[in-house]
Amino acid sequence: MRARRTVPEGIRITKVGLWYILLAVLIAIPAANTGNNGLYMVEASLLALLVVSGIASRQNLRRLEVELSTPEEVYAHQAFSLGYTLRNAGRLWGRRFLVIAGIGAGKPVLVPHLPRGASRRGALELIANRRGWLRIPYLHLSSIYPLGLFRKGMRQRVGVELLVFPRLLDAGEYRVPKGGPVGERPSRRPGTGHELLSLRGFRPGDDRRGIHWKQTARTGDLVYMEREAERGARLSILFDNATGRLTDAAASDRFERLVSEAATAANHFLESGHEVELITRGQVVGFGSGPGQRRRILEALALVAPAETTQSPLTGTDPGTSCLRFALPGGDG
Amino acid sequence: MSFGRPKRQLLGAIAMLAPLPLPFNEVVGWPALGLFWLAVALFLWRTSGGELTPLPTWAMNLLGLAYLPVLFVDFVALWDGRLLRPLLHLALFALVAKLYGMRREKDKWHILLLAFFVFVAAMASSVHPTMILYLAFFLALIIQVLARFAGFHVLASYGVGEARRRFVPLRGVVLSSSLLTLLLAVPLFALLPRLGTPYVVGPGSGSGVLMGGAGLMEQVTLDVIGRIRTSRAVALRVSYETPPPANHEMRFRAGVYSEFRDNAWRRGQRRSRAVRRERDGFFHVAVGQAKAWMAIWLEPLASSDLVLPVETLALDLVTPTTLHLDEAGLISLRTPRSRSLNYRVGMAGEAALQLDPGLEEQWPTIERASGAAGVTPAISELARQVAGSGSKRQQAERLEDFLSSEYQYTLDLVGSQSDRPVEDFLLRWRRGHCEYFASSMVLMLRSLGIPARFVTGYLGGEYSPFEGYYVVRQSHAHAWVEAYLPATGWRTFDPTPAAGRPETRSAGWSHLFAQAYDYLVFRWDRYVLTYGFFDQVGIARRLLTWWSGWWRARSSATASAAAASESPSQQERGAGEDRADEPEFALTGLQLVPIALLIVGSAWWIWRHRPAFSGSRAYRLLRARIERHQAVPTAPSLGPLALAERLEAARPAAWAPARRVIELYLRESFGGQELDDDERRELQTALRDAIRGLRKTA
Repeated sequence: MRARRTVPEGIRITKVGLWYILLAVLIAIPAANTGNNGLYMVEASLLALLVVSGIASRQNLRRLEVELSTPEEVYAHQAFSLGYTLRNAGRLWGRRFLVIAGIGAGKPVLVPHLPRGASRRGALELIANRRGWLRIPYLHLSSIYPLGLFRKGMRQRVGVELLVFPRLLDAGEYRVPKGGPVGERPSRRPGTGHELLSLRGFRPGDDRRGIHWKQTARTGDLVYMEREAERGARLSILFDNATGRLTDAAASDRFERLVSEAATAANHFLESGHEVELITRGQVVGFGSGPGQRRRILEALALVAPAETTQSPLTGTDPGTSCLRFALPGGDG
Repeated sequence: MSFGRPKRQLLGAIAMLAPLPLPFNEVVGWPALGLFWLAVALFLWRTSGGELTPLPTWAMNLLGLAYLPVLFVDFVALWDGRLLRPLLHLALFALVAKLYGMRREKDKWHILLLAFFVFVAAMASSVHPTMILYLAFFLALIIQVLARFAGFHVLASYGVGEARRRFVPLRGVVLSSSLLTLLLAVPLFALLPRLGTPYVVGPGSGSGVLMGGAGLMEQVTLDVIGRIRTSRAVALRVSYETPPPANHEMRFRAGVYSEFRDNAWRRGQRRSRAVRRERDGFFHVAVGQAKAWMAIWLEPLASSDLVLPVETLALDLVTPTTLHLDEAGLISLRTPRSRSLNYRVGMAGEAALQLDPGLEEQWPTIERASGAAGVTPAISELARQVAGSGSKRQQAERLEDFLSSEYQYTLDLVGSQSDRPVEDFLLRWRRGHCEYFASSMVLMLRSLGIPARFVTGYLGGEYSPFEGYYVVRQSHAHAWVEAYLPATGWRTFDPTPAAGRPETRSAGWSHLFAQAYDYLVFRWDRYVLTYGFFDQVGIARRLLTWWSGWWRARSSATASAAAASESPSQQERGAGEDRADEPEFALTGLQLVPIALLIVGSAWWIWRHRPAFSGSRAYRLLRARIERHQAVPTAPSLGPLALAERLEAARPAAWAPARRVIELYLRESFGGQELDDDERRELQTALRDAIRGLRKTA
């Protein structure tokens, strides 16, 4: 993704610049009063330097090219890296003290020196404040070069669109409920399910949480509790977005929290080897497992929006499958 | 303090340079500056050795107290009427103290401010052309300092250490910025508005020397001219505006002396009258019609007298309204000049030494020129022998020939210490310089009863190929004689041998550098130091003339093209109308061009830098319109979404676009998503539709 077109963002005077202008005005008064041409020379030089500084500042932000490399997955409220390659397409001058910033929250990056024709690679740490489509129309480039009198800004058009997945809640924030009768068909092979497969000696690399402490105490050796994989377990996640229009911020926050819970649950069960489907009002992501299914469900949840209220219940496609229902209090779930 | 060491080094360098011209301008003495430099050099030396521990606050306070007696001595004991000297001493002391006590980031700006104050004082008190070099060096250094400080600030903000600062090269930036700034400062210097005549601090012009010129003193001893002629300093510059009269020898009168007493020529008491500018804009000092014009730039010569060619009839000066004409025909200003003066002179074809006949009768100039002081019997006897019989004119010419042919010219001041130097020159040594020749002839003429006076001034000049003017130097100083002849009045005689007369000549290669330097100094004085309001008016007038000429040429070209299709009477009338409108049009056009450029430029700049049409601005506008149309009650606590809800019921026509405005506003302000160009356009359209909707419903 390459962008060339720049849009000036204006000039902001710095404190040093303010003092500089004040001094220029102060020199102008005795110069005009006395007619002393020595003072006029100082005044003319001050003004000329101001103009030269403006020109140099403008040149410093021109003919810059930015290439962006977007990350695979972006989650709301979680920092992500947006890779960039900044190239100085100017043929005469190097660029100095460039500060690159994305939109919203995130830490700007400094490029101290970019010689003519050279390029620099780096990454911008950004945070998406909400799920859904995140548009990054511009990157902000700014600099106080050359003299620090002004901070000049330029918007570098990039036109990037990222789909921000819902925030995944961590264990401290949200405890994923058990998805009903899981593990219907034990696979008789080790996994992360709930059924005990065997007790064996602890091997390096085993999860310490799987140590069977009673047996360990009894035998004197570390005993590991091997569980069966829950292959073939299926789960329907029913996300009821028939909330009607959310008029206040608290309701919106509750809705977003619900989306995050649904995404966290889906992520959890998919990682546990389940086949998961997502049912919302107006959209069905059929059963599936693995990373592809995870992405499909997260994409659907990234774009889910409040729908009109309805009395019809939300049901899964397979009535025999256990369900996890997500709905705002007062809804049908 | 981050980057403390390079910051200290830069500030030390700028502190070293800032006061450099002050001793040359006699504002600060060398001892004071020497002490200052010593302190700064020590500071730089200690800084180069490693991180300098700043002076503690109590030490700074103690230093401040210690300086109080110095300040007292400066203001009381050494007070010379100039406030600048003690102030600069104080500034230099504060600069050193601040350098040694620098610990916070803002201290560096205090030091820079103090150095800038010293720099401004140095510039304001400088007159020599080398001040431009000082300005250039200081400018380059200040650019270096500001650029480095900006870089340090940015690097420190992003946690980049001192080790990596060298990866940001700034030398090219400093050089190119300095050069560009100087180039751009030249037109700015010319265009910055002047409110009055320039004030030059310092003794005189760019050379910084107030010269005593040939015969510009009240009293002239017989060795003065000999001494003056050893100097190459420029006295005046002369440029012919029209071809000079035939055999014009460039003889300029500067002083006329009638009394010879104690072996020195004195002016004595003279009466004078005011000469006012006449309706034609000129000062007429003698009767006659000017046949040629010359422009003179006179250097400051410690006198209020004007140096004028002997053919002077009329004068054109800008500033004074009144001149003074004395009984010897010298023109003077009210006060001595402190800087070079420019005037034009209208000249007759020959020497115009005759005053108005009324004045000749009123003023006893002839009697004054007939005194017998200094005439010894030996001089009288020699005069009688040489002059012989015949008319007064013939006698004077014989004396002139005798002296110029029988005596030798020398600049050795032979016999100047004797009691009777003129008699010794005539009868004993028979050699001397122009003052001896002229004094001898005046006394000999007076012994013969012919009124005569001793005149000093300049003869000849060097042609400068750089600008086509003549440079008259102090080495062109000369003395000659004016004798009053009954038939013709006052007439010039020059008894000095040709070998001793200064010449009018073109400068050879040997003088080329001197001419070039003189050209530089002259231009500097004329167009930099003394550049002022009237110069700006002159430039505007020349532009106006150029514009008028261009307009006239254009009009005549248009008229000739249309000649075929118009009758002669129509052509005449039309051309007359064009000419009638032309000056006003030209004047208006010329005045309007810069104004129009300024307006267009400002409008363009404002348009280019206009703030983007933001969601918050659109929301503010929408809210203001809703309030104006009283569509819904809008309490300050009413949020945007609630406002949209209320609007839906009260003003359905405006609701949908208003809702869109609010959505975009919320997205931009609280959603962390910036609007792109399409959305901004949509925002404007929605706002327009919402306002229309509000109007319709209202």
